[in-house]
Amino acid sequence: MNDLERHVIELIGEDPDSPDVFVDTAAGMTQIRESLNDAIEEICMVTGSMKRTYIVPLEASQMFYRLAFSQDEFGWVTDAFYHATKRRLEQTDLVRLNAWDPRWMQLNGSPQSYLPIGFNVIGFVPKPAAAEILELTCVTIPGRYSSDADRIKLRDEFKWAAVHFAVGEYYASRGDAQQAMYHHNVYLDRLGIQQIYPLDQGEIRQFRTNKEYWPRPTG
Amino acid sequence: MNRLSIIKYIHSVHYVGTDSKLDWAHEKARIRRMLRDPNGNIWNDSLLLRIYNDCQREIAQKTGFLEDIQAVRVPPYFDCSYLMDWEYVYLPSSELANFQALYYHGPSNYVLTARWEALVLNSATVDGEHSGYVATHPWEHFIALQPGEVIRLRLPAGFHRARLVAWDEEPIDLLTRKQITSEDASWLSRMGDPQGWWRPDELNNEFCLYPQASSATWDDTVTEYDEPVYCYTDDFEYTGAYISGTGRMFTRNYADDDVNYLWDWEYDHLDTGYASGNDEVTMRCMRLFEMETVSGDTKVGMLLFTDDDTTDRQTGTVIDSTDYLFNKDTGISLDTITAADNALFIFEKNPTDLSGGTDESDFPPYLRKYIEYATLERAYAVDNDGQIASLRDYWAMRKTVGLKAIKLFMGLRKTDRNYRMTTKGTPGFRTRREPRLPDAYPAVYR
Repeated sequence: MNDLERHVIELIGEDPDSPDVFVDTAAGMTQIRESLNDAIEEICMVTGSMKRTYIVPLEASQMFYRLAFSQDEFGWVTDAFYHATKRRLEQTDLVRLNAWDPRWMQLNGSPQSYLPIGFNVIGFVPKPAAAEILELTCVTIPGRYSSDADRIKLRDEFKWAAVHFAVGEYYASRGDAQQAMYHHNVYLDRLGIQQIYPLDQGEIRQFRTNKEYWPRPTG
Repeated sequence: MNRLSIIKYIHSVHYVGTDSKLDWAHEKARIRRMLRDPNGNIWNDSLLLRIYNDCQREIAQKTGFLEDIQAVRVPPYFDCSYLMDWEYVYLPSSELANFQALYYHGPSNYVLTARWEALVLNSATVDGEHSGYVATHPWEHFIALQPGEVIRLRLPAGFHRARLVAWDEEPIDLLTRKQITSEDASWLSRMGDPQGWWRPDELNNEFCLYPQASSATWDDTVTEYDEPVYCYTDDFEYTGAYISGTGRMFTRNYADDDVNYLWDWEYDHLDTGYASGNDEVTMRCMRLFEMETVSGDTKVGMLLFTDDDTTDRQTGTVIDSTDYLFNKDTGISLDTITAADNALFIFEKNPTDLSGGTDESDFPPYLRKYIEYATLERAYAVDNDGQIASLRDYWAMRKTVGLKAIKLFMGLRKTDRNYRMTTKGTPGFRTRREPRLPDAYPAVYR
């Protein structure tokens, strides 16, 4: 039983050290773990708080690739870097490609842009002329944890939000819609914390002036 | 039964391990947990399944989330041909690719092979003509005979709306039959490189190319094994002629006890096993990529492959398995899709209906909970003993939040895209650190 599960159990009125229903076994914790996993997936999906870097081996003359990660789920690409030419790839779309050159699918060369299609297909334009390596930095949706030993892949700021998500679902499974609604609203409220601690929290915002930064001799 | 006992009871019935895959059986258990109806006393399984299928289609249509890319084979393959409408329900499965061949003549309820046969039905003198040939399977049109009918091709499974259609890696336009017939009297026999595509109707999952494709190749047809290579565990399977053809034994035999083993450490536990450091370094392996790291003379894997296996006819996706990558190090598996000499569709997709058991939704696992929320909303709205308005509204709220989350997610996928407002003719961004040609120079990628 991890911290989140313990807190959920306390909030629903169980004693985590001696629970009646949610005993500390795989079977006993199923409902709470599934709710927490659902919460973690949703939070990571809308905040993009977990990223992984993947090295994709490109094949010669193959434009489209279907990505299937063995762990976690592919969310979206935040950065694509082509090491052969030391170049960052731009994201593009079908409208832009068709306006630029209707024969874009026939081009061979060093990829200069990538084209996401659906939730797990990505294309590279032009298609690689030779087998090369491409580095993708992707937001990922964490795989579902299933035991105490598994890491909870959730940003610390959001962990109490996930707890309220699970508590709300517990009350829904009891038929108490009012309490379920209350806790889900708390979850949504806690999730709003990203506005206070955004991804670019390291940035110092300040006003800028057109004045010169230091006096210049006027002679 | 007091309240705590009820909770325990529901909890025990609904145990599904969190590590199991999210198939219908698992999702049904999750839904039933929230319905507090573990045994289906109020909502039966078939009702929940129908609601689920309806809801996943609703979410797909409201979000446009499901997109896919598939190369459609030309010449096309259909699984069955049939003639009369009444035959349809007797076909093996509506999920298969079924082709209604020849001309179904509605007024007479006959099937005609040539158009002039309608004159015979009208007791008229047979003076008609039917130029070109008709076929019982569309691929027959690609054997150099002049087609006398439109050649219908299969749309990808689950096709909802096209984002891009290309022939031989060039985009082609959506046309209507009216556009084609009003501008080209010889449209039916026009052959060449297709410039457009159109749909005969929207009931059948079919489309046609205009002009009809003349450059179809047969290179990507399925080639059966001439000489299959089998894996077998024990020598008797081969010597006893249980397999026809060649074979390889993927285990090793320890003759003293007549047992087979796979790993070296197993050998250490046999009667006269020797300790590590032995000279037997060849381990049998279960996957092809493992063979790359094995030293020794014999490299035997369990997976068989053939260079000719280039097509997955179930999905319509052309897969080049000759160059398939087994990428254990990156954790990414890839399959590649080729569009050369085929019609390529990038399209919005309708989710496939589940039929039960181990079926899984086309949505990725992290979105399936929203389908469950919608299912719960509908279930609580059914006019039965379980109807509860407050819970219906609660799950409706959850579904609404879920739809917003999906749309937000879809927007976030474009965060790496650089947009700018420009007027026509404005030079594009340049991110390359290379000598620059004039903006007007042709074929500069922007």
